[in-house]
Amino acid sequence: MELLVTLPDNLIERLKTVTCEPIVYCIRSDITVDGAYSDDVFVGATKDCLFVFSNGDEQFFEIASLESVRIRKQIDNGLLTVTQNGEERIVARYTLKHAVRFACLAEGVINFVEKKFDRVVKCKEREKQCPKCGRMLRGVGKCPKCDKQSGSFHKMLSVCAPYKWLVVVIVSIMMIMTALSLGQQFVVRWFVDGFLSKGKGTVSDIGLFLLLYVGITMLNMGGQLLKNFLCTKLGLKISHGLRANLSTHLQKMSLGIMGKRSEGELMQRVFNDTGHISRFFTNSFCNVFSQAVTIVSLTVLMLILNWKLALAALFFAPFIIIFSRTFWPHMRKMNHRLHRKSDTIQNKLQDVLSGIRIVKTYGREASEIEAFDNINDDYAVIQYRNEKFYTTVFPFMSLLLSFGTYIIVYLGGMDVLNGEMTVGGLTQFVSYAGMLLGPLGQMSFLPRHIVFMTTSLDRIYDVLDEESDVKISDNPIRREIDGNVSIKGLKFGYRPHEVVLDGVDLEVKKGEMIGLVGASGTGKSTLINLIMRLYDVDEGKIEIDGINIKEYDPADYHRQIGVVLQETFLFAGTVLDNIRFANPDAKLEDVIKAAKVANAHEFICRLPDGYNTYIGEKGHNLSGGEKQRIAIARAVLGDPKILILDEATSALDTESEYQIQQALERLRQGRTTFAIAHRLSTLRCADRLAVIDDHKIAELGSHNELLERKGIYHGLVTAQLEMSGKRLEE
Amino acid sequence: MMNDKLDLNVEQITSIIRLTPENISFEATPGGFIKAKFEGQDKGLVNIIRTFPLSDADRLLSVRLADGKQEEIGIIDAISDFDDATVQLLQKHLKLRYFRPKIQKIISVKEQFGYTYWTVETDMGLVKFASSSGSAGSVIRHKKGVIIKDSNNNRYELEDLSVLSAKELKKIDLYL
Repeated sequence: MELLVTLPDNLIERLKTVTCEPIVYCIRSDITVDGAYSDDVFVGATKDCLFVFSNGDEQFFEIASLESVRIRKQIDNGLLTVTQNGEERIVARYTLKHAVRFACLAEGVINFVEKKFDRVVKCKEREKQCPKCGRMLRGVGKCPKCDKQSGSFHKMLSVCAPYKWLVVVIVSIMMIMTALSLGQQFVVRWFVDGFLSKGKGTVSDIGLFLLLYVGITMLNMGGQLLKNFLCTKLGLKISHGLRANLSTHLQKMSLGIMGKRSEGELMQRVFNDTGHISRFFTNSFCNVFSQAVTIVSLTVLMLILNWKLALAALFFAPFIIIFSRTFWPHMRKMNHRLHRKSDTIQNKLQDVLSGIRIVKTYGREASEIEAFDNINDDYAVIQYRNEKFYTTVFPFMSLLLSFGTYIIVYLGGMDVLNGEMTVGGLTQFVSYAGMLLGPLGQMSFLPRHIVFMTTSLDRIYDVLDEESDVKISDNPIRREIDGNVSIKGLKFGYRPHEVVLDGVDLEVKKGEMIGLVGASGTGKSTLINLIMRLYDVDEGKIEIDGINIKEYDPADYHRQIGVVLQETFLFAGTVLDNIRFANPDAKLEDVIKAAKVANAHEFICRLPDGYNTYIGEKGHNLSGGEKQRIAIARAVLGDPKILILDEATSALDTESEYQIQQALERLRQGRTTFAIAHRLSTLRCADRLAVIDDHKIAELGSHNELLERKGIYHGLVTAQLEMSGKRLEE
Repeated sequence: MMNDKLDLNVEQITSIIRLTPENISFEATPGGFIKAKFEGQDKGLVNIIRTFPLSDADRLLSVRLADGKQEEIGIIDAISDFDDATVQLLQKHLKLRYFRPKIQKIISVKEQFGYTYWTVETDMGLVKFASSSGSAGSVIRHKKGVIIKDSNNNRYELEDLSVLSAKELKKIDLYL
């Protein structure tokens, strides 16, 4: 995001009277402190001055006089404040549109306050709006309007490139079919003028006509079938290729990049956007483009044959286009409304069915039935209204289309009577008029179809073009690690204005177990994510055996880490598949050994298909403890050097917890272990405990050392003991 | 013994400290914030939080410390219990804390490239914003009106749909 917008000339001049230093930061706000919208609010800083220009008002603060600069989050807005002489003062206000920029600005100015003048903050967040036209960028780094035209066309060509011969064949078939359709009417004209009008001809002439006419119709039909088949094939091949590329790319993306997009958004791109492209090539490219070819050829031919009648036929074209485009938005709204209602019905039903036990327990069946009936009634009303509209409008549209033909019949009929045109010629023209006016209405939607397709294409390429922010070094190190972990001056935040960890230092020796303790949201799991290198640190470094974690090959490094999380995720598949996930080539004996270490072998043997029992949504139901033990077996099989336990036993009953504690105890032997647990008794085996508070390690030491210190850890232990009715002395 | 202790804790936890003009006073700071004195004790900067911002905006306001763990001092039953000067001070603070412009007129609503672009006149002036067309949560029905959430999560309130002209209603019909 831009943190240095251009200040208007008059304000630059004014600022020069206050400071000679160049502007380092300058951002806009959209509201004044009173909350009034304004385009005239600028906040920025030089190395010696923080300035605010707001709707004609101005404020200057000497950086050296500031004690602190901060942002205060409000509801749907925020405040930038400075503290001088112990008094905090509001200097600017912003809506959420500018929240990230203000956070970066505050961080930048704080650096100046702390005399770190060489530290200039850069905003990692991407712009959401096009700086040129203001349109939203929707995760697409490029503007759909300003950046689209040439780029999208190029992308479309590159998408079609592997199938260029298929495209050539399809276009050729379209041309041949158009020529056949036009030629068929010449046959009709030949037959009418040559035989019917003159009242002569033989049965064989009629037979020849029928043969030619039916022959062309059959050829056309065959062409149509072949074209449809090839277009469908093209659409499916293109979407299949894009889906495969997207899926491969998503697997390689870092969690940091993945986190910027919701699962739904990514799913939408993999399925819906590739679906749009497939549909475009199957329907629009196939039908609308072939109609476009027909319309152009027909117009040229009709103008050559009889320009007066051609113009009469074309006279109705604008009316048809206007008619279609007038009703289109209305029809779209109607469809949209119907879909939304349909979503509401589905959601309601899903809600009730998922919570059916609660509904029944609270005896709320009647009210739920009534609520569903109401939505269902609304849906039926909208459906009826839509159908009524369609059944009224479409016949009217057909009538309008037929008017063009009536006029041609009238004008052409006059020409025939005056001997300026043959009956066959008129017949041919009337047919051409029908062929021309019919597709015009649909043709007016072609730009929309193209926009849909190119937008989807942009959204797909937006993901494909994105590079992982966890970079692989040029010469990645692949080695068996020992498990010494050193964290130095670590700073990290998922977003620029939300620092999670700041100034974390920790030295962990091979085989040591570190318990991470602290309130929810203090950054324990974040620290673990960084040790696993799912994200890269913003400042400082993490070393494994004295080598920066960034130097390691991520895949090779991850292979040597074992993870057991609170929310155990098992993939749809067999127990065997899930345990082997960490090591697909493991022998069956090793799988059993791993399951034994995890206290899982006994219950697996009791499953109907043993290790081959299918688990997952439609498979065998496992209890939380059983799933957890499979996850531990999975970790054991990977033979990790670093073990991560994130609330691995928090959701279990006492017996399961006991069994899993035993399993974990076996598992962690000789491995560097990081364990997070709210239940502090779980961490009794930890060599050292690190209490994370206020973004850093607030206390570090053994259980006894921390208790003696009577700090945060002492407070936590006392509170937990009180809950269980014990006293610390006991 | 333990049960007594637990009972006491539950009672302590669920008890509501009522804030009245008798036990709390507020004062504006030169920097634009407010500070409070509760039962004669200076509490420093405080925030006033609406516990029911949508349904009962001026009732049951939670007064909390502005810094640290933002502990609650207590709850104001109704803002009108206080004298005019305090009401004005609290209202000013609430205006600073909550920013949800009220839409007075819909000037245009346009859909492009998966976004709905709105131009509306609000009590805070003219504003243009975009909401995601595909997101079901962009327009939420609320009482007689709607709350519109833009792509930056800013919210705008249209208090009463019935005051809109037929032309304006037609513009937003699709989103209702």
